[in-house]
Amino acid sequence: MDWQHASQGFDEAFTSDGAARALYEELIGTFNGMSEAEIVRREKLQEMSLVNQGITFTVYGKEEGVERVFPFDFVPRIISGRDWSMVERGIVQRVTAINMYLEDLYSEQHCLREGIMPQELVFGSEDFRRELIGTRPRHGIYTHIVGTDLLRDDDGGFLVLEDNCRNPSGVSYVLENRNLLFRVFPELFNRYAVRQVERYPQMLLEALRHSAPRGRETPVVAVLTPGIYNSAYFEHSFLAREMGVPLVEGRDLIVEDDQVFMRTTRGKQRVDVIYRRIDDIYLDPVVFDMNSMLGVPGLMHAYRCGNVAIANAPGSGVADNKSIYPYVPDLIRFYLDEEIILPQVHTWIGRREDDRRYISEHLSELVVKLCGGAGGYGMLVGPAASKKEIEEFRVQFESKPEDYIAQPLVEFSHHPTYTGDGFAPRRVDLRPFVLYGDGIKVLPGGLTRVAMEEGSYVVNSSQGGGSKDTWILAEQDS
Amino acid sequence: MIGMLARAAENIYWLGRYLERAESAARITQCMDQLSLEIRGLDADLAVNIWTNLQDMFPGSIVKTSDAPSLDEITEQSLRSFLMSYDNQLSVAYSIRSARENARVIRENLTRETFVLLNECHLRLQSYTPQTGLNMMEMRSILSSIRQEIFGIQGAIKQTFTRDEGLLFLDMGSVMERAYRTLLLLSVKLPFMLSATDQVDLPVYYARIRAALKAVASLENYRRNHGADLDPKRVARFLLFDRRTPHSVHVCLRELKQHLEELEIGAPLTNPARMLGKITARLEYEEQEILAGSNLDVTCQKLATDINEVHDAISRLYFTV
Repeated sequence: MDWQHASQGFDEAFTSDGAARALYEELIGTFNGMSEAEIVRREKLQEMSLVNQGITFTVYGKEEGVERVFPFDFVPRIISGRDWSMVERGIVQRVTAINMYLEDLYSEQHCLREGIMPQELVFGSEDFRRELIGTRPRHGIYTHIVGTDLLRDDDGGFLVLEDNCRNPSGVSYVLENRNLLFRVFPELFNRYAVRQVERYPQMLLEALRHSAPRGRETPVVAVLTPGIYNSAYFEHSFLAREMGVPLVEGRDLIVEDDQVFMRTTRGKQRVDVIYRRIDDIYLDPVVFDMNSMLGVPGLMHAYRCGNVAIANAPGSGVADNKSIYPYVPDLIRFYLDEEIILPQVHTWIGRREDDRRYISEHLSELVVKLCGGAGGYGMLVGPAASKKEIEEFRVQFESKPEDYIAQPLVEFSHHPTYTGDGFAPRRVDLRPFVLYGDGIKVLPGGLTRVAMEEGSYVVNSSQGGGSKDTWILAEQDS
Repeated sequence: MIGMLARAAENIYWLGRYLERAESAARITQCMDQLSLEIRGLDADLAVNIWTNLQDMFPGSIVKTSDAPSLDEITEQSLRSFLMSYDNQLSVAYSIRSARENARVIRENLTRETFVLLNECHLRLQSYTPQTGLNMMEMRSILSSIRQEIFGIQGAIKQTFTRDEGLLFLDMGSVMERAYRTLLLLSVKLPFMLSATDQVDLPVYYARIRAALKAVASLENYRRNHGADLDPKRVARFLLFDRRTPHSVHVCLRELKQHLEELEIGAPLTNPARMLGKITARLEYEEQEILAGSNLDVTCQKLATDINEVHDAISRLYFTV
């Protein structure tokens, strides 16, 4: 089989002179030992398996609720135990600081008083929940589940691109990708000691139970979904099934006497922990968006009374607003008295006048993102955009520059990806998943998203990206 | 004990109903097709009527044909409509798609094996678009294989589901639908079955009784009990009152009753259980009177309505908390 290597950026599998890196030698050798026809046959099997198992996401657009398969590339990404250990430490540091920041923000607000974080950034953020000042979730944990997006720079070092502290999605594909690869290419695992990801649902359930209100010995956990038309519905259902807990919609829940109940065949049953997969503003029409049909009237009052835990805690979104990202190194210094372990990308902030001017003048060179955006929506990739697209985006940006941040176009690392007639380099990122319960645990794996088209930077599932299995090697083999 | 989420219970109940409906639609369509083929040389008008009967057994079904369709036209359109039309809400494809939607909503309550088999079945049926241009032979072959697939799904459910409330609701949906379909079939078929045999063409008459038994998967069971003698009253009694054949109304309602009792062990009698108790008691104690009645088809229609009321009572008690 033909293997091409990347001409720009870091190629994770090949050195610049085209030789396979040590980590990848066995893997490439295994694929080279298969005939092209065999690889094509197995790829078809894999595609069929994804379709038949209904491993899908829902696309928003013309037709409501169109299900699509999330493309899977069977060439696994390999990360050495040594590299992972650094990533793990860096992420734990970050999540610790972010939680301390949130706890501070919703109580004493030292970080604002001491000028670490600009007040206008917090109070001007639509993700800051004034109503929750003074409400402390159990153990002071706000972000029970975090997905931190990473890139690898030109030297292969990891960079943090963004933190997802609200409802990071994608972990179901991490588990399903591993299952699929086991079934379709089992021989790939023969020569690698790959760390397992299968325990994630158990770890998640433990973290959620840890957050339960005091006095509830066997807390009842439920996953709250907006419903079947949500893009991540498959994942909501997957996680509920894997944890063995009910998947509820807002209409299944009711609040009485400041306690939350679900409507069951045996009447009302109390719920202690809600793993919500809906945004803050839809949680409770009494407190937030009064038109929300997805939420539960009275839920926030029950939460403030300490009768139900909500994960992630309402108000956590203020920590992953993209305008906060540039300040994370300062937060780490302030709360932990440490230097940041995982570096991050230089960021211009639209609300600063100098930065706004710079962004406006360099739109064609920058990646500009909506502060509260996700999924690649409301984003401009300047170097890949047409003049018309840039000018259209300029109008949006200039009308509300405070809603945007900008970063230089960081070259993603490349990874061999099967294209149908050989293996070619494609851009990848990485989203490891972090659970904060009785300690902070990082799942040894993560969602590698891949831009399936040649030259593309877009890795989002909603816009044509795919995914790979991510192998973290046990230390002795690294 | 933590109950099942009411919305999940409702979806799983409907999953059971739709799966049963899909299998019934495939089975009854197959039987009517075979009967129509069997008698077309003997009585062409009756062969056309068989397809009209099929629509009567599925009230609300839609078969698009010209005003006076030829036998070939009505055969092809009926096969197409009951196999693969999404306009016909009682077709196999529509029922499987609905079952799959229910399954998708409550996927966390299902086993992987069940969902995958159901999804495969749905995707296969969905691939037969009007442009696929299947001919009658192909549609007949698909009807057979789809039934096997549905049995596979039902088998996966039996083999892999936890024996809990979820399975009870699924089985309740299934037997409710089965009883309803048997009663509708009887209400359509009884008038000719009980007509005076000296006025009819006997080979055709017996072919129709055989087809009626096959349409509710009971021909072999009937023969095992009563031999090859297709006495119409005995057939009616068999489909209404037999204690062993799974499609008899008695067996379906007995199972439904058992499921309701199992849901409420030790609790006071619920409304649906009380309503069902009245129906089963009447069937139990008034068997002779019912069979001797002059309008048995009307009695079957009335029973179908009573069963629908039990369905409504179940819905009110368990799904609307």
